[in-house]
Amino acid sequence: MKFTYNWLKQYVNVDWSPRELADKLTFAGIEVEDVVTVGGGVLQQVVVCQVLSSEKHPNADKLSVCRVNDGKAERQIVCGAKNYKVGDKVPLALPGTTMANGMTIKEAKLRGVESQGMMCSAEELGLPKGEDGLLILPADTRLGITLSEAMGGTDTVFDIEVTPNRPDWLSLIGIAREISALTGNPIKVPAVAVPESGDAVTKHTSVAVEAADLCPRYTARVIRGVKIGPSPAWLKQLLEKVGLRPVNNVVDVTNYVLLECGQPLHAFDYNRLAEHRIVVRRAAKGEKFLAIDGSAHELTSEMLVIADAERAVALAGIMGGKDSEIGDTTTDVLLESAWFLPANVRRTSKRLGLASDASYRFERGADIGSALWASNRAAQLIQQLAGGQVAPGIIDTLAKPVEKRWVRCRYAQVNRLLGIIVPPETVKKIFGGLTLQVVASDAQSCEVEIPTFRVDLEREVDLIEEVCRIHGVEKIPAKMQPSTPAVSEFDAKWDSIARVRQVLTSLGFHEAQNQTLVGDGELKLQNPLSADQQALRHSLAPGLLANLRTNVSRHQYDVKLFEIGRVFAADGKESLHLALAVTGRRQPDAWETAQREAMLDYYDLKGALEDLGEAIGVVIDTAGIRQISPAQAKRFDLRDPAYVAELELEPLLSSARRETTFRELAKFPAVVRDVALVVDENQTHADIVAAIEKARNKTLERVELFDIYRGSSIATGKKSMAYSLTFRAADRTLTDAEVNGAHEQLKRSLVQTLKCEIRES
Amino acid sequence: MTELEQQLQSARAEAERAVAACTDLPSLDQLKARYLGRSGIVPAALEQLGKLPKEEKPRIGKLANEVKNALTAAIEAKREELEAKAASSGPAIDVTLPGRRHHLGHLHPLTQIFERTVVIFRRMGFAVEDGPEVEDEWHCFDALNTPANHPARDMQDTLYIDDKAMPPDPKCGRYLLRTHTSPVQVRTMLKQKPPIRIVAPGRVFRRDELDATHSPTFHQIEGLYVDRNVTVADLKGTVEFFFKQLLSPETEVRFRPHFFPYTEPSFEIDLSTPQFRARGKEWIEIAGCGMVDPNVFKAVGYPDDEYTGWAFGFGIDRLAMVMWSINDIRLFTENDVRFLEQF
Repeated sequence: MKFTYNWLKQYVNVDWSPRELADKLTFAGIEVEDVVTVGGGVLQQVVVCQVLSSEKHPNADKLSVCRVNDGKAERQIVCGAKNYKVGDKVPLALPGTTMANGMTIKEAKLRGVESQGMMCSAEELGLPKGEDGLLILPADTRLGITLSEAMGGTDTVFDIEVTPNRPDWLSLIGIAREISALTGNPIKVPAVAVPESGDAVTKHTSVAVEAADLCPRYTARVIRGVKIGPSPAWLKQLLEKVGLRPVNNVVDVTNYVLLECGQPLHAFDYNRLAEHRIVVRRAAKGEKFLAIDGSAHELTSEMLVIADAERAVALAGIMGGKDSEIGDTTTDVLLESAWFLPANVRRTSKRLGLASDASYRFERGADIGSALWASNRAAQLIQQLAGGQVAPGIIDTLAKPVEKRWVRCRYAQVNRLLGIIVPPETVKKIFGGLTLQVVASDAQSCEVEIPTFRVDLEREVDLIEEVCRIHGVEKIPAKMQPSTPAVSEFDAKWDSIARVRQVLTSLGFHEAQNQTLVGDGELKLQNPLSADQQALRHSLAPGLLANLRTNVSRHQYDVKLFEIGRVFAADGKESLHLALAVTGRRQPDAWETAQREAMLDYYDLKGALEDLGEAIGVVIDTAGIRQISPAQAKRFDLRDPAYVAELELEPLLSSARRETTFRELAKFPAVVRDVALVVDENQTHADIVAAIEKARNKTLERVELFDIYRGSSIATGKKSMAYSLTFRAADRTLTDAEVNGAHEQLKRSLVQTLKCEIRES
Repeated sequence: MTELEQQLQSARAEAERAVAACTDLPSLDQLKARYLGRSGIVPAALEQLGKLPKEEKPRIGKLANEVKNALTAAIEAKREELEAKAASSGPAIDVTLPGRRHHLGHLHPLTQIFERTVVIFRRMGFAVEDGPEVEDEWHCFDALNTPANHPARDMQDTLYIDDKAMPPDPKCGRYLLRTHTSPVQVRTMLKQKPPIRIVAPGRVFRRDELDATHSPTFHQIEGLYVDRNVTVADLKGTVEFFFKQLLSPETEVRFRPHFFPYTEPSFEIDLSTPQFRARGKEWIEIAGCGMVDPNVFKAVGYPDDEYTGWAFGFGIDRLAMVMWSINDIRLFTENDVRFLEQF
C-alpha cells in the first residue's frame, strides 16, 4: 500500500523526517519497501506556461515556433512536439534549468531561430511516461507557478508491505494510530457531518440480506442529483501519487475513503438498480456476472453477490458490475458500506482469479465497526465534490451491536515468553497507546477491550506480541540457556551422507545439485507452471547428463560429477539416490602425453564405487554402471564417451559398517608365484577367480590380476590373463617345495576347469 | 715407530686416497675387501699384534683400531655418496613443474552452508532432523496455524501433487511439495516430548518460474527449541551466536517485528557485516523467527501453558547469493565445473 507523508500528517502529528518515519515504521513491523520524493527536483524549477501561437519553423519541417506566456512575459520557443494546440498549458523549462537527465537548458538558436527555453514532456521531467509529446496540464492551472506547486507541492510517497495479520494498517488512520502508540501524539480523525435533505433513505431503497452468515452488516445511503465530473486537482493528485487512476468525483471519493479508513465502499448508479433495491444473496449456480474491469464470470452457489431485484450487480466485497457502475450520466448514487466474511471473499476471489483493493482488505478482515463512519464520510465528500442531496438516514442491517471482546494479559506470561520483566505500568501504558482500553486490572494481570479494527488480537500471546513490539525487541538481551545435547535417529544418517560426499570429493568428483521438478517423471503435479516442470524426478541420472552437456557445450570436456538427492516413485514414495557421471580425460592436466590423453572409462566409475564401498564398509553393487549409448551421447551433445551410475543410497547407509574388527598381522612370510592363462575372449575375470577358488588351496592367501595381454604371441580371439598368487601359512614358513606343489596343482586344476592354456614366460 | 706402525699409517693414507678417487660401487667394494676384508691389510696387521712386545701392544692396538674405524667411515661415506648419485641418475628434477595432482572434487556451495550450519548448531547441542519433501496440507499448513482460506497461505504459492496419483488423505488433506522446512517441526513434536533442540536442513518448493532470482526448488534450514521457559532472549542469543559463527564475529544482527502464522511474536532478522557494508548494503534481510505459536503446540497435542519455544529459519540459496555475491540463482543447478570449483 502507498500513502504520502503530508497526507498522513492530517491524521497525527509526525515529529520525524520521512527517513526517520520509514525506520520507525519498519521497527514497528510495517515494512517500508520504498520511499520516493515527488514534486521535487526539476519540478520546482519548471513553470507553467500557455501557448499563445504556433507557426511552422521556416527552416525545419518537424519543428514549430511558438509564442508562450510564462506568467511574467512572452517568450519564443522552438518545439518539436505535435500534440498540443494553441491555448494549452504546458511545462516550460527556462534557461538555466537542469533537467532530470542532467542537461541544462540555454537560450539557443535552433535552425536559425531563437528559442528561449524548452517545453517539456512528462518523461523529460522524470514523471511516468504519458502520451507522446508535451505534458498537457489542466486548463485551470495557474500560469507562472512551478510545476511542483501545480501538482500539489512536494511530498514523500511511502510504499509499505503490510503482513496479513494487520489489515488495520491498510489505511492512513491505521498507520496514524500506530504512530500515536509510538509517540503519544493524539490521533486526529476527521469530524464527519452529513448535510441531509429530502425524503428518507427508506423511501428510496431497501436492503434484504438473504445470507446473513456471509454478510452480517450491509449499510446503504442514497445521494440524489449528483453531477459526475472530474475530481478537483488535490484529490486527483493525491490518488495519482499513491498509484490509483482518478476516475470521477464519486468513484474517487470511495477510493479516497477506502485509503483513509480501510473500509471498502462501492457506489452504484441508483437508477440502474432494478426496483432500486438491494438483495444480498448467494449467486445462483451458473449465474453470469460482468465485472467493472470487463471480465465475465460464471458464478457458483457458494459465492455471495449484491443483487438488485433481478440480477447480480456486484460480487460481494470484490468488484462491482459493469451494468451499474457510476458513469457520466449518473445522477443518483447508492453507496454501499458493508462487512463480508473474510474466508468467503477469499475463496471467491481465488476461484475467479479476481482481486481488488476491496477484496484484499475484506479477506484479511475489515473493521466491522467503521462501516457507518466510512459511509458518512464518503457521503459528505460526494456531496461536497459532486453536489446533490444526501437522503436522510442510513440503512444498516447489523442485527445487534458488534460483540465486545476482552483479553487478559498476565504479567508473568510476558516475562515467561520475552525473558525480561516489563513493569505492569509499562504494559498498561502500551495497551493504552494502542487504544486497547484496560477494563480490569489486578497485581498479576490486566484485561483489555479489543477494538473492532484489531482483528488479530484474540489471545494473551497476541497481547504479549504487542508489548514486545512497542516496548522494543532491541531491549531484550541476547542470552543462551545451557541445555543437554539432543539426539535424533537422523543424526547418524546425516553423518553417513556427509561421509559419502567427502569420499566422492576426495576421488575428484564435484557435487552437483539439480532441480527436483522435471518434464518427465512418474509422479505428476496438479498445478505445474510449465510442461518442463510438471513432474518430480524419478532418477538423478538425466540431471547429471544435462550437466555434462552444459559443461561440454562450454568446452569443458573433462567432468566428474555426483549428486545425492531424493527421487519419487509414482505413488509418492521418496528415496535417496546417489548418482555419478563422468566424461572426458582421467588426468587432463598431466604433462606426460600418455597420461594426459587417457580417457575415463567404465573402470574409473567402478573403481570409485569400490573405493566408496570400502570407505563406508559395504559392498556396493556396481551392476548399474552404464556407458551412455552413442545415440544418447549425440542427443546430449557429448564429445567423448560418458558413463553414469545410479543407486539407492539409503540401504547402503543402513547396512554400513558400524564396528571395526581387528585381525592379527601374519607372522610368517608369504611366497608369491605368477600364473598367466590364455583364455577365450569371452571368459571373464570372475570365471577365472571362481576357478581358482574352486581349487581350494588352503595356503593361497591372495589373487591379484596384474596383466591382460592381447597380441602377436596370442591367438586371435584369445587373451592372456596374468595373476599374482600369494601363498602363506598362518603357523609356519612355507617351503619352496610346498609352494611349488600348490602352484603346480592349481595350474592343473585351472587347465581342467577353464580349458585354458598356461602361458609360460 | 715400529715397522707395523709404519705399515698401518701408510695403508691408511693409501686407502684414503683410493676411496676418495673411487667413482663406482664395485670398486668401492673391492677397496673395502682389500683393506678391511677378512684377509685385508688392516685385519692382517691386527693379527700381528699378538707377536708384539707387551709394552707396545696397547699403543699399536689403539692405532690399528683408529685406522679401521677411519677407513670404515670413509668407505661408508663414499658409499652413500655413490648410491645417492646412482639414484639421481636420469634427467634432473625441475622443481617448477606442476606436481602430479589428484584434484579433489568440491562440495556444492549450498551443501557447504548446510554443513557449516549443522556443525554450529551441533556445537550448541542441537540434533539434525529430517522430513519428507512430499508433504500434506495438515503438516505444511494447518498444524502450523495456517488454515485454508487464510491470506497467510498466499505467502507461499504451493505446488500440489496430482490427486489421482496421491489421493488426499482424509485427515491430512492434499499432498504437496513442502513450501518450507517447518513441517519437520511438527513431525518432531508429534514423535517426542520436550526438550526438543533440532536443526532441519532441506529442500523446499514454491510455484515460481525459474529466473535469475527465483527457483521452484530452493533450500532452507530450520531450528527449533522447545522446553520450559524458553524465551525471546534465548532466541536472540542463539541466532546471534549462530550468524557470528557462520559469517564473522563482526556480524551485527537485528530483529524486526514481523508476522508468521506459526510464531507469535514473530521477527525478521537483518544482518550487517563489514563484507556487506563494503558492497554498499547496510542491512540484509536474511531470516525469520519467533516464539512457537500456542496453536502449533495445540496441534501437536502439547498441554496449554506448559512449554514455550522458538523457531528460526532461513533460505540457504539467498544467503549463499549474498555471501558470495552470486547474481543468478540458476548457477546453483547448472553445475558448471567452473562454478563448483570456486567453493
